[in-house]
Amino acid sequence: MSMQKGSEGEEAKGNVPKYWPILYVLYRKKRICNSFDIQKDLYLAKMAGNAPIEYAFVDDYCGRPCCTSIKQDAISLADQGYVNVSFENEWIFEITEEGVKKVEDFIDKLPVEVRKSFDYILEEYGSLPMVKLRDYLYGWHSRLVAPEEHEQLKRQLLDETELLLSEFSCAESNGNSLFLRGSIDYCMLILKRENLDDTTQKDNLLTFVDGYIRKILLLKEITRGNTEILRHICLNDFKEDFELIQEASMVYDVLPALYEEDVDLAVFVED
Amino acid sequence: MSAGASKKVIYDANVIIYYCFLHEERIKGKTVTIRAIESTNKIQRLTEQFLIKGVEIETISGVIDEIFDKGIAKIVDEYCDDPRTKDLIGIPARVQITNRIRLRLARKTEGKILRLQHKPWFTVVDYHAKEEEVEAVKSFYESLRGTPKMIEHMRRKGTREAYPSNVDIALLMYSKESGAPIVTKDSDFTYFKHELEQRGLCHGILIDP
Repeated sequence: MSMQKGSEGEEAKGNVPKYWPILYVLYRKKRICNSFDIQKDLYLAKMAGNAPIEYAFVDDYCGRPCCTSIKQDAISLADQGYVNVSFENEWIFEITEEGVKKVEDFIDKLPVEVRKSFDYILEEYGSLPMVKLRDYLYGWHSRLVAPEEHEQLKRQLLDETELLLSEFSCAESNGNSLFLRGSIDYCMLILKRENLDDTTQKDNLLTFVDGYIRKILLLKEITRGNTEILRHICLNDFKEDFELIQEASMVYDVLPALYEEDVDLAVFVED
Repeated sequence: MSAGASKKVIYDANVIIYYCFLHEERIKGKTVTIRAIESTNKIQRLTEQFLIKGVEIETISGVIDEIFDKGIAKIVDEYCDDPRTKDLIGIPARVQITNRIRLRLARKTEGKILRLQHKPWFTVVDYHAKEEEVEAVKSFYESLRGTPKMIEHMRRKGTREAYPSNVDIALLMYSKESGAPIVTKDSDFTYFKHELEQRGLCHGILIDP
């Protein structure tokens, strides 16, 4: 694995391995749910905290700064025994005792100001929901979108969700097709219910839904609607994206999360 | 074979799903219990009896994969399409239960099945049947093709295959190897209980009461 090769080389030279910020953030938080949360913490530590992090970020299909290498490296750290990785609707990362020892090995090699700055970022922004961080830190305030542009996008998304829903409804029912149908249907209800005055919030929510729907359209194209292929595809990343959409919908008070325990089902029924 | 005769029983996919398909939901302020109408109570009671008698419950890893692949979705859809469900939750018969509600029920069931796997009395065994054993079971089922019983079974099931899935065959083999009966409602097993037991292709079939 490339991560291990590079890391071994760096460690041999007495430097900290490239993946150090992943282990460090897990060392501080112990457990992180959703791979994007690790990426978010590292992005902030790099951009706002000036931490010397080698990972490069690019905007993903939802306009979020992301770095898939971080997720891959975090998963690979499980092979080395430093992290326990599992998946339940989203990736869950937990540092192991081995991981703690590893951090304690390299922590002294990190300059004190780097650690302090990293800790400050985690303390300040670590528990804020992703959607709020996006509001405050990613400079989306400056992106002015005309209200009619939002309405156009909503209409287009509603057409696309209806089309996707009808196509996936014809598919043989299995775990994956039920997840896609259910999540598309939930997005459709968001689009129908959403009436946000705050343009930043509206833009965030629509961008998340738009990104998710684009991803499903691509999946449909790749599988050519073949449900037998669809059945065998791992949809973990889709599930994580859907978690983020639910979170945004909940934070902006549009709809409760679909999986929320104490909720009256009537809220998910259209008038 | 009686429920308490063995110290160990094997659950098939549907039995596990029915056991876990038990949820409370609030609908327009009223609390409604969601469960597979004829099966959940029975398997809940049966499981309680097993536990009182100290019987351990097992399944094989292939069954768990099958549950997450197709099993839950199938049972959630069957439940939501049942007119009695719409009566229970108070929606008109012509209205479909939406996909988002179906996903919510599936997700809750998945969560319960994941938690079930952590119970001390429930074990998932990593078991894979040998190819020649799979072929032997398939040959047995094929040998019944053309008999009135098999014709009736295939007609009811709406299938052209005389034999069950590879996971079901592995379940039979595991029953034989472990000396534990399979608790099931699957007609691939229940319809041919006598023949399967007589031929020694499994330890036993315990038809879910």
